[in-house]
Amino acid sequence: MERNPYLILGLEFGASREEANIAFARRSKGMHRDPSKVDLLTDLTWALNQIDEAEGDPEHRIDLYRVPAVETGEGSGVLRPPPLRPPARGGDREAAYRWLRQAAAHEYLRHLVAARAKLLAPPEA
Amino acid sequence: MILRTRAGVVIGESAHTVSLLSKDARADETPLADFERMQPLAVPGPPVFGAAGRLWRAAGAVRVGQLNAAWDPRVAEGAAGAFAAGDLGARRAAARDALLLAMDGALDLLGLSPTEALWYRAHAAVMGGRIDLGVDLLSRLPNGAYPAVVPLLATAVPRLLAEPRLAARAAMLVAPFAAGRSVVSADGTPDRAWPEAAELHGALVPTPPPDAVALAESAATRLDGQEQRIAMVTAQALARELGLPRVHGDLPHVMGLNAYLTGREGHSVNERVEELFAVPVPLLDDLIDRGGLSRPPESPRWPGGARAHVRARLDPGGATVEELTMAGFAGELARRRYLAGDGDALSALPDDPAVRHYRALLAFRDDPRKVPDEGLFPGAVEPLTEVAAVLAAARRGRTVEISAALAADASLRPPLTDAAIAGAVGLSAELRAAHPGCADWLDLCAVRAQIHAGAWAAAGHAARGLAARTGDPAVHDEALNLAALADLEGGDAETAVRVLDAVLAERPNPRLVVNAAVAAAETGDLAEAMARLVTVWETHPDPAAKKAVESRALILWLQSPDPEAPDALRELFHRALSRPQEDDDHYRLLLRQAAAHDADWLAAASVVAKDDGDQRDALHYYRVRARASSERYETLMDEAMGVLGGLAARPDPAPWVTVELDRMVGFLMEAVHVPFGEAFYVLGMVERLADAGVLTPAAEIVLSVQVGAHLAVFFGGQEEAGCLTEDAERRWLFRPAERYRRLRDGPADDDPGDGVGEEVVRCLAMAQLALFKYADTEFDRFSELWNDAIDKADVMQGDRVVAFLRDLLKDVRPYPSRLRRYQTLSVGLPTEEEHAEQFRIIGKACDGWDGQLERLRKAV
Repeated sequence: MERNPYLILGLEFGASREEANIAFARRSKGMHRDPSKVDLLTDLTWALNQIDEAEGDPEHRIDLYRVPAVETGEGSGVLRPPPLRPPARGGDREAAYRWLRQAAAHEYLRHLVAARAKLLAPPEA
Repeated sequence: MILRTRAGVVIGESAHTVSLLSKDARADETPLADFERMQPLAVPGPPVFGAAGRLWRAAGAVRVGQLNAAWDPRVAEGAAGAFAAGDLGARRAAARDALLLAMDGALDLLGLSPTEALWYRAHAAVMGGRIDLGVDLLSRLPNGAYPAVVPLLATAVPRLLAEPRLAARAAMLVAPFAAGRSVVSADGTPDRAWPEAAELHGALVPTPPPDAVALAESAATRLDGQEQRIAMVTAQALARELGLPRVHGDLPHVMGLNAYLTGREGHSVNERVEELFAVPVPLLDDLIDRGGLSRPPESPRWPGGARAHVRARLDPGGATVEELTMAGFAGELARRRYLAGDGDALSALPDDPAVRHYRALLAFRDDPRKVPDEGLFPGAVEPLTEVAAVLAAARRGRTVEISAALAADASLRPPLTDAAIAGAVGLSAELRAAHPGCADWLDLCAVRAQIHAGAWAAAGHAARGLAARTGDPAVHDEALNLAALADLEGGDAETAVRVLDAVLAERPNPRLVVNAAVAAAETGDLAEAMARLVTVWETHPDPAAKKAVESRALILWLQSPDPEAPDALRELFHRALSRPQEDDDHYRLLLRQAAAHDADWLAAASVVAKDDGDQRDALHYYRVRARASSERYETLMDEAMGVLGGLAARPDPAPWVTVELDRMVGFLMEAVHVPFGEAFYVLGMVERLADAGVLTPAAEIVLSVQVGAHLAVFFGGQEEAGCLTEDAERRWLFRPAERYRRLRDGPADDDPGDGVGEEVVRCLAMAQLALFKYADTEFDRFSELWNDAIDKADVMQGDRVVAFLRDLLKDVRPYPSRLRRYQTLSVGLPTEEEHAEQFRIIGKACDGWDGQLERLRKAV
């Protein structure tokens, strides 16, 4: 089976280079001085290099097992905030209403005068 | 009684007679009684007002042939002039008739005042539908002097309103007759000397007049029947601020007001959202705040700004970036950039409390050990502080029980996941019960801790337990994903595949499909692994992922002991090559594999190639190669090398062509370095490449002499042995050898090297030996034939014997010199001892043959 650098470093599949660096630093801490951990350190270094030098989207790696494969714990909260409703723009609602009423009356007046024009006989010169 | 049969026209009248013009220019005085018995005749043309107009119309009809008459139209026109010069009434009638009959010039001859003539012209223009000309002419009349302007323009309102500029000018013409009067008297009754003028003026002005509502009420009374009743109800509703009845026609403000009033009364207007496009934004906000409007508009009739504002307010998550920008809603833009982790874009937004909050959140997400001092909304500070505290405790190796607030907020789990895997996050039994989602998360982290520790059996057991007890399908599936991994790492790939299959049967998931393919590859069942990869290929819409699957499938097969490409792989490549491939290298990889392992298919398949030429060249080359490998075609590899040579001979060949050429030269080099006589079949391939001039000098020399030697040995080894023709000998052996000598003796950079020289000598030696053997048998045959001929000389005619012997000599005589040529060409080249020995021996043999042949020649 293909060795999985994400699993070796204890990372979620597709983790970034920065996350890989942090995970490597945390896991390799003290190993340099411990001869019994040489193999483990070699594995960690290999895994870090794999992620560091990887090109393209990790999702295109078809040879690596995905952990996690299923999104769990989805939900909004402090760090995944839902959209905020913007406030009203402001403005004088009463004045806007008066304007709309007048505009509607003007429009209706035009409508009536135009309707009446069709009923009028041609005027004498 | 006088019987008349022609059309006549009256051109004058007196008390008892009329002057009737019926022929030429003479009028007859006809008694009235006789005239009244005559039949009237309809004359084409518009209805006219006076006698002059009648005569003008009749004369005009005669002139254009619409009226058949024998009288002279000039006489009728003269009479018309006399009528038009009568009293004021006759002149005005003549003026109107002149305009009606398009005799505009006649108007100025009638003696009317200029303003009166202007009025007649304006009237005729308006009635004739030339509204802009009519308004223009009316504007030149004295202001307020012609009240008839009002009824005249009232007939033209629809046309005027269609052109706001004209309507505004018309309003100025009507204004003198509408201005200066109160609209409503103190007791509420209309108090207007000319209300129609006021209504017309109110309709024509560009902006709503202050008394628009009252004018509408007044105008409503002027319609008839049902139309009037509807109009009055509507106008009264407008006046009393009540809901309006449905009004037909394109009345956006009426419609908008109506919908707004409905919403203001507490009803939902979601079904009527598209009617609100003319409503001012403060009223739209009012509807939103009242809860009457919750559906975003879609119609393009909405002004961009209002539409963006309403969409941003109602569905900030669904509004486009353009809409949010237009609405000036930086908060949602900031949220999106925060979620995308785009700090630069976040910094570029204008300062705003929401923008500061998301900047602070992003800073925390990048480094959750420290809670930003500024910018966070107050409600965010406490939970983030707790996250930081848990992480600090984890670094010290302590386990901290998290609060209910933290347990309830799923968004805070990602920064705590590492700590949870490390066992530093605790959850009380009470909170486990209250927040099962948090408990599941912690249990998944525990399984992952076992995975990281390589405790496969324990991890599989814990994962299956979690899958069995959770109520969350996502957690269930992820737990089994971890269980399958544990199985796989524990060496049980078959179980892992079964577990993943069971999960996928319930809920498809692209990542689980990949995992199933990874596990299947470990079962050792190549067909099964291929089938899984095909599923991944089908599941992933992304071309890059499909490409990865294609490569992975190829690698799995190449790593397997199976020499035959599985059907699934072939099918996958068929599908891959039937869709566009962006990556040229990958495209050629697919073609190369298909040419090598699926030649029958590629030879005839419909394969997609990009239009840029490179893929088309590759397809052509590999298709010819496939045909050379397919038994269904008689194509030879020679033709493929011809195609490759053509591509490589271009001024700037594609890099893949150069690589492929190197690969093929390497293949040919390997092919010829077998026992001599076996690789004669490369002749055509080498010939095509050499003819294209694409081989390096060294490669061309080596391959040529090898071909020559293989051919020589092959012919010599046949049952009926033969030898190279002298042409072939020159082409494949002597010229390459001479070329080698020239290059070696030329500039140092051109020297192909001793290795090539050794190859040349070796091949010359092999070919010479083959020729020598053949020549030796030929000499034996020659001896037998010679002796036989000598024996029979007694019974044959002497001259025939001599001719036969001379022909025999001619056949064998070239062999010594041909054989010496090999030796000559090898002089000075790096020659192994065995070959040098061979050259000496064959040289001596040739000397012997030459001596014998010379003696025989002299004898005959």
